[in-house]
Amino acid sequence: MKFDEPTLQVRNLHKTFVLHPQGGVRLPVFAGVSLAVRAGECVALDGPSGCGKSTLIRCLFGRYVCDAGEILLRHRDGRIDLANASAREILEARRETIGYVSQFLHVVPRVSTLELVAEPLLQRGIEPEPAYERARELLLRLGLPSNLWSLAPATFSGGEQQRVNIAAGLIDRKPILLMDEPTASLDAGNAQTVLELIRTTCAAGSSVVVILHDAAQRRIVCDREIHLPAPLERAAIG
Amino acid sequence: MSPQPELAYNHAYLDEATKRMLRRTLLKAVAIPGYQVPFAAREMPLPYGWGTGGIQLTAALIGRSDVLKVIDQGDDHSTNAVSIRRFFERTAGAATTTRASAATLIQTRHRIPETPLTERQILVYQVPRPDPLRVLEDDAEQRARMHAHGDYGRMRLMLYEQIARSGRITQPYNYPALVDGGYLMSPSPIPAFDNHKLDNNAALQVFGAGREQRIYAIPPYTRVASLDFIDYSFAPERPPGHCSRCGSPASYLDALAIDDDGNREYVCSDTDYCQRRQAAPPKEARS
Amino acid sequence: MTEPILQLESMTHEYPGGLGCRAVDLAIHPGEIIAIVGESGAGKSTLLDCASGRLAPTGGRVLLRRDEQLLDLYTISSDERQALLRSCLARIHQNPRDGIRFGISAGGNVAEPLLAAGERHYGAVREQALEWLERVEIDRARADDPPEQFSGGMQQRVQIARALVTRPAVLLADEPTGGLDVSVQATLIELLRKLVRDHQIAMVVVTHDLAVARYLASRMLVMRAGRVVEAGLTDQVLHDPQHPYSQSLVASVLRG
Repeated sequence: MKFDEPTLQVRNLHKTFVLHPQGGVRLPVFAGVSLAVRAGECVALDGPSGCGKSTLIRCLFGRYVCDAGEILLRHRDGRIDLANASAREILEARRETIGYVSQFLHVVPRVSTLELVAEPLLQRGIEPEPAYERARELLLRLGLPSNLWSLAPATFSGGEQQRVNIAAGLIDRKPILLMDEPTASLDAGNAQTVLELIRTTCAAGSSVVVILHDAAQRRIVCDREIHLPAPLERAAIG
Repeated sequence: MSPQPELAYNHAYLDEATKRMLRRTLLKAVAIPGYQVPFAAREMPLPYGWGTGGIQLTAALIGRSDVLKVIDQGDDHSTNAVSIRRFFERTAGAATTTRASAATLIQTRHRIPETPLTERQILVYQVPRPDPLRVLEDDAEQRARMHAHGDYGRMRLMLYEQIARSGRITQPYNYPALVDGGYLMSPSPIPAFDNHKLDNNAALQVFGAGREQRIYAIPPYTRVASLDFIDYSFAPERPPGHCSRCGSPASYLDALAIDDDGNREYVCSDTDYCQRRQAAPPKEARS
Repeated sequence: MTEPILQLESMTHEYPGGLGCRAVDLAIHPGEIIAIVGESGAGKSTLLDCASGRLAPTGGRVLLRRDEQLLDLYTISSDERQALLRSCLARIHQNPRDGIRFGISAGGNVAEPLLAAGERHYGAVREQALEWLERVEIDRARADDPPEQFSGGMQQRVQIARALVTRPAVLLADEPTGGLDVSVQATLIELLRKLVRDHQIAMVVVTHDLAVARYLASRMLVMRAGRVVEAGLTDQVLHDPQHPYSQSLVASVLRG
């Protein structure tokens, strides 16, 4: 295992949605996508609307199923192909190797902001006090004051929810981090903080794959950009 | 067909085949201590609830040299005890007695004699409800399964609830006991106080339930353990005081009304025991 | 990776009238929560009955890992199976009346499995029962009250305490929050999640509520007409269902 091998390597990935309730309509999203990301790199996914950026990110996390291709992660002392791994293997990879910050916070009733953010550390067996301490630091950094910590985020604004989401996603640094429009609902100041946090994460050795629609932000935080081609022709087959 | 002869009964009323069937059932019961063995009960000339099970067992066991004692709630002279004794005098030509020490066969309802029994004796219990789980579970198949698996948690729960409610186990009679570490038995409605006499008794103890058609047995010298808890061990209550007639401090006492003002005296339930003590008071050291 | 605690191998139970569950494969590990979703009549309850040792399958096997050994639940003696049911295969019913005893105090309900398992010290049994009532957020002062007086949510909590008091390795729950108020549901679900996590119990939860499945379970099975039509990560099945039935199930809920 050479050190400069990519932490994430995608080979010839294909994704087509098949909508059975609609007569089996096929929606091809992308075909033949390949990319590689190294430790410490921040890579932006770019391309026209509908090119499948979010879909690709979700495939990389195992949330979407791919029809063909490989998603190779450097995991433990070897590699794992997330596109062909079992459910439990993917869960293990998510616990240890790959994280995902989606566009929207999944709101759960009755779980406080602090608990939500500390949860990834608690799950890893970190003691509650240090876990909560780290969560508080991160929340403060992201401009979420202490009066919000004991509340469930359901009533927060979009921007506040997004920052909670990011805190939960960044608190337990993983070798690979996937982020889908992390700054979309944020004002300039908060967006800047998030970009700084991403840079810090990369500096610590993580690989980041991010979708940012703002070109200026991409330039600040990303080492390179990967362009996905325009959406494939959507022929109704079925 | 020749006319029926003048009414003459087979020895002890039942025909030999029936008695053999009863003895076979008894052998099985003795072989599986505490297990309720089904049997085909016969019509007996007394109603259910008056000891048809006990009578069938006695009829199967009584031989020409047996001496029979019958007690009902400890009393040799209650109507039922007298009737049953006369029944066997007539149908088996049996010798009878009120003295426990002189009997070879003792049929009883709801009490165990105070006098310790010997290996030469058999104690026959009349039992109304043979299955201790009946109070907990209506379904017979479920009960059978519980017995088969030794699943007696619910019975222990019943005692647990008594402690939770009253601070102690309050089961006054029909106190459940485990026979030979195996089956849970219903000792018949003997007072909980009498349970210890079931344990390690030199006599063979057999139980007959006529209406429910079950026979079970405790072989001599068998361990019978009344259910309890480590911190709430089996400690049955006894009406306080001494027998007002013989002075016994240890026998089970019945309360007898002596007037219409509610005054009572406490006397030994076991009349034979009481009379013997009155006749020859034991030289007890005053403690 | 740890070994599975419970495995269903092509497990089938066919009723004389037809449906039950067919050829179910499932492996669950300690601390894992797996959801089974699908319309009613899909065979989910039958699956739970067979998996929990309470109904013999007509085909396939149910394997339980115990003391480093793999036991075939239905070839061991019924005595052994009963003992396992009592100690490590707990079952929760949708209707708490099916899982608790009325006529017995709440505390007694929780104490019973301990008594059945052979505990003989009243004080110790009572203390454990009270502790578990506290864990399911029932005041100790209500321990001697009959559960008939409790609300549905409280009755369900008594059932949960009764199921978990023997610290079972596996918990099989059938719509544990069905029929309860939404707010009560949320509290109960969170309670279950924490208890399962704290005691590393493997839980299989049958639910028609995809939100419950999403919240609790890392993996999910979709059942239809007795068969498992899709199995995978919960978020994958909810976000990118592959099977036609899964797609219509997910779509119908999200639309609402």
